[in-house]
Amino acid sequence: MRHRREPTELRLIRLDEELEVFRLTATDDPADPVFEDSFRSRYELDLPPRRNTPEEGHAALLMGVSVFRRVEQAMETGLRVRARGRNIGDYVARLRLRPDEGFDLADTGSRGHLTIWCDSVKLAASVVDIVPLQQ
Amino acid sequence: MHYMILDSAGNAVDTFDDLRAALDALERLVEAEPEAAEHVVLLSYDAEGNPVGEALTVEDARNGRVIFADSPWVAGAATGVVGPTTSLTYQFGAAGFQSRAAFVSSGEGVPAHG
Repeated sequence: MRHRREPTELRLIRLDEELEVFRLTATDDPADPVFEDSFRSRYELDLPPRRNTPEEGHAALLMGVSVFRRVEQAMETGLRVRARGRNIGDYVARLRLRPDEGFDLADTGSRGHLTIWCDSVKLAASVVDIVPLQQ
Repeated sequence: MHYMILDSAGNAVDTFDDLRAALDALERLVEAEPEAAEHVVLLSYDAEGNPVGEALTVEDARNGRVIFADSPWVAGAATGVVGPTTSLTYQFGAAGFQSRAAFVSSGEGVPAHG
């Protein structure tokens, strides 16, 4: 029996007020094209679904990006990956999402992990702070 | 306990409630896309969504660094409880065992994978 958590019941979160979320990014320089790329989904980067993953069966997953509700979650995730010699981002960006600006979010994965769907330009413009990974 | 496969873009690729299934999925992903080996890791999260333990790579899944308690390899191994029902072991002398010692000495308690 598999224990995959299937994304068959994604429930969008209604954004009635501002919400801060945190995203791992590759740079802290908004002028660097890599900055905006940090907010692009695989779909937006024109990358195919990863094989043998739910991305093959759920286009929504290919079109979303991951964020966390708490800065500690993003920070610890990045640090623990870095400790194993891998990199999923060197910085943690704080995004302030405002209602009625076209953000769609759903709780996915572990508690406090969200998938967000939005134009990457708008996501990048929502960054209000960015800090390097640190203990 | 939840297990998320994350990619180098910082996105969750897949999520599981079972570590063995998560490790299998990590292997299958890399089997289909060998170039992804350097770009995907598996991380454990507790009930509150806090990352716990070490990130695991596909090499960990393949080389038996993570050994389950019901494995015949448990003899001579250090055991750590991961969750209410899952128990893992690391062989003595393996990197995982050293990591466990480091976690315990740092006062963070027993990590997810050691």
